[in-house]
Amino acid sequence: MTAAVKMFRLDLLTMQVYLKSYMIFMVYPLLFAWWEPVGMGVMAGFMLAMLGGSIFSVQEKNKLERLYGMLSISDSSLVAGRYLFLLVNCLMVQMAILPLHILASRLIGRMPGGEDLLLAMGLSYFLFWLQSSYQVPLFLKFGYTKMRLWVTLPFVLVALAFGFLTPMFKEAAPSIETWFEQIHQHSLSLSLILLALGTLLGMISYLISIGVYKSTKQ
Amino acid sequence: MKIIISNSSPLPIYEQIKQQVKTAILSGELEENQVLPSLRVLAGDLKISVLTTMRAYNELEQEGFVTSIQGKGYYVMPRGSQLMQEQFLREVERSLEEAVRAAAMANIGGEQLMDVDAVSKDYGKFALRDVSFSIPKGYIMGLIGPNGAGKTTIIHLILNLLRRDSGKIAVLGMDNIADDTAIKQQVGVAFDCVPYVDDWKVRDVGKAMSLFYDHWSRSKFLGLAEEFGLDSGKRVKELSRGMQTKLMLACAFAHDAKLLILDEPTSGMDPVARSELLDMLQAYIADGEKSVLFSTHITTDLERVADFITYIRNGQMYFTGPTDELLEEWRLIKGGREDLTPQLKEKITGLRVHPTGFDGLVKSKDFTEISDGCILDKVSLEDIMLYTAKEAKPS
Repeated sequence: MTAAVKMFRLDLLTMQVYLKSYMIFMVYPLLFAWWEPVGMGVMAGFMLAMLGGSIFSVQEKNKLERLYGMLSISDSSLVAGRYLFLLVNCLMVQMAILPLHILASRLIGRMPGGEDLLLAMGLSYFLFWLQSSYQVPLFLKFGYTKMRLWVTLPFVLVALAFGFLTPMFKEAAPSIETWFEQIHQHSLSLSLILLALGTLLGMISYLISIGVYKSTKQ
Repeated sequence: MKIIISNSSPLPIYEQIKQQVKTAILSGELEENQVLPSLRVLAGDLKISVLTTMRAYNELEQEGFVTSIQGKGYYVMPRGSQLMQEQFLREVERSLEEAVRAAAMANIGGEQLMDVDAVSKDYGKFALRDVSFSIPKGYIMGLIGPNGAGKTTIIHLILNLLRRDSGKIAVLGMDNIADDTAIKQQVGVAFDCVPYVDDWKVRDVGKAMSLFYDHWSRSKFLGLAEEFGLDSGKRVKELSRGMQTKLMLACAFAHDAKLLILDEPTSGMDPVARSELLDMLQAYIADGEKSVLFSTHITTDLERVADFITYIRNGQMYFTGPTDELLEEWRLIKGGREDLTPQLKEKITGLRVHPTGFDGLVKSKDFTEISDGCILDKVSLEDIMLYTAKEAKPS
């Protein structure tokens, strides 16, 4: 674990120089909060958390595999350190966004409830791990460029599917509305489920990544 | 005795004559009071000026190796002269140094810092087969070979960036896979380009490295950075190629690495920076406890510093041993087309025939069988690589 923390600190040091980009992106949640406090807050949180994924582009750009290869650290600690970095990045972004989000919502007079905020955080946490869980093994296996392709593909498919399925959504609108009501009623339990599912995804992904990373040396 | 003049030798002609006469005297080939070839005869044989042969003989006389008798010529001095004894002692010292090196290579009375034993790695299109070599404590091993020969693959296998298919690699007596983290505490690495984040400042590099090494000395790192002229507030990407290499070395020295692995560290560096680096390497191994594995295709660097050479060609071992042994094994032969007999042709490696003649490599042991019309020169590592690589290419 100590070695994983060292790797986490190395990642922090690596991304430290990109801190300004983070700060600029902090403006997003404020803008999104103007439109719709919960849904857009989720997206803003998710997007910011995904910024943590830029560590992969920095790694590839600077060919940091050679640095990792010369350091006194085991493969599993190296991978664990990277997941720790992603997790902390996600949580820190959430923590940073929350007060900004509340402030912006208060300014426009549309203050979301505590459960709504918790649901927003749970959902963004889950979405973050849903994406990261396949992003990391893909990066380790194929490198950054191919990984971006594979990561973008699901979004393209969802967008296409959305277009084709719009008539169905229209028909199902009353039942979707009912779902949202249900979600609203059970937002606390749903947030906890999303948090647990996100964590589980992260853990499975970590185990897969260790295997993938070791296989790249074959 | 037969004196051979090499046009490619860095020594002036008179110095080459002196060296060869001295060697002949010290080895007993020229006996006491034996007369040397006359100035004119020698000048005629070598197709050089009499003034050159005279300068060589005069200096030999000043050093006490020969004496001149007016009107009769130059004679070998009796062995009792003090100057000759001093020279003889120097020769003995040199022979002893060579013997110690050979013993270290054969692991007699010395400790191997790294041992690569029959290592193979098959990629399908390219395979590294049965590569074996050892680096004794206190020496520099040069790893040479043409591009694509497998030098970087070997380094990646040693650093456990790649897994070998078979064989063993021991560093400081430990297995490089099982004891990976323990080994890397004591290994410093310098690649052909810096492995750090471009936007890091020099001091950030120190901070990052300090996380992973138990024996990291911050003060040593900053001291070295200052000594090497590295501004700690400067970004990595703003440093010149030579400065980036110095930064990698400062990191290696700051954690007191016992083994330094250098992968093409001098490529792209100017001659002054290269020379500085070579001086640093020699200072680094001076305590006899540390070693260097130095992979490069700039072989002139290795001729200056490497005690041993491992030569890889097409993924296979071609030679491993003392540098002098490799250089002594070969001679560069040049001659006119009419001198190229079928018997000679068979003995030439990497034969190159051109409109005015031919050149190639021959084994030194075949030297006596070569026709008098040819010129024999000492070889450089580059010559060996060039001609043997040519031989390896499919026609």
